[in-house]
Amino acid sequence: MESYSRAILVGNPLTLVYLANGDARVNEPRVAADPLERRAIEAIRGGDSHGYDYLVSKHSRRALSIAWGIVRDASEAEDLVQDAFVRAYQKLDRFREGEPFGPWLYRIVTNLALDVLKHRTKFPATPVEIHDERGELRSVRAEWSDTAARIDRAIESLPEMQRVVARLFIVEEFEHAEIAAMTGLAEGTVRSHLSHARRKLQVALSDLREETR
Amino acid sequence: MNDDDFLKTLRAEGSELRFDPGEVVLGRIEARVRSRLSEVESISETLARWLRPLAGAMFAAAAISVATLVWLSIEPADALLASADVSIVEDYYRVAR
Repeated sequence: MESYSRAILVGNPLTLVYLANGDARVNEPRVAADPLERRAIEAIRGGDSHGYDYLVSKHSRRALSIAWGIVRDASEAEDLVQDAFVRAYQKLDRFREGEPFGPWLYRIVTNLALDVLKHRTKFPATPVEIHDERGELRSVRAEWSDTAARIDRAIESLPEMQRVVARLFIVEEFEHAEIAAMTGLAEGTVRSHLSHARRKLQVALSDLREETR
Repeated sequence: MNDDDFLKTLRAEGSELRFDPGEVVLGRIEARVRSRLSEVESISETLARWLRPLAGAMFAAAAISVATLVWLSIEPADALLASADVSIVEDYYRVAR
């Protein structure tokens, strides 16, 4: 196991094991699911649906961020995260015991979000604004630094799947294999999308690229 | 710089782009999921309440059909024929010239 140089948490329940060369391996033995999460799932399978509250509370923030990153509409993202939780609950018998719940849920969220994009292609619509906690409209962009806003604009200018993959990689910090699992794409296709995205982003953000050298 | 190095350098700034919904929105999601799950449960309970007697009636009908078929296959064919009244009716037709 010397090839494993480190294991990090990327702000979510996924624990990725990194190889010495920097690639992430997700198929290697993973850190077991959070014990509370495991107990919650056992409780639900035993007929106590209140166990689900813990899972919703633990994963809703990240799920919403993933959904919003793809659909770019807060209320749609909120709706589809609710749908994802309900679907995950209904299909819990298919969930493999001992696995972390997060990646499974995020896959459902990503699939639902991609369905929304497909639907939009058929029926174009919707501005990108969200309601804040008092129900007022505001722009999410107002809180970003100039650099972050430029990165966002550059990502948004990419073709659809490049945009989705780049956002999951850059913003949500998922690795290639995880993005492949979430989107249903082959890992090679994810790498290809990222490679195309990188070239376009390097042009759009050429000054940032100079800084990183 | 390899393919991913540039993208990884963007992560430092890009993490700011994550959507942070705030506690109210998260609370609303939790409440709505809970409410939808209780609806799902009550729908399945309702269906179970209606489907159980229906399934029982269908099972009884199937059992009766099977029993009848079994009885028919056991009963000798001659006995069935003997008990049946057989009548032969002749029809006469005249061809017009």
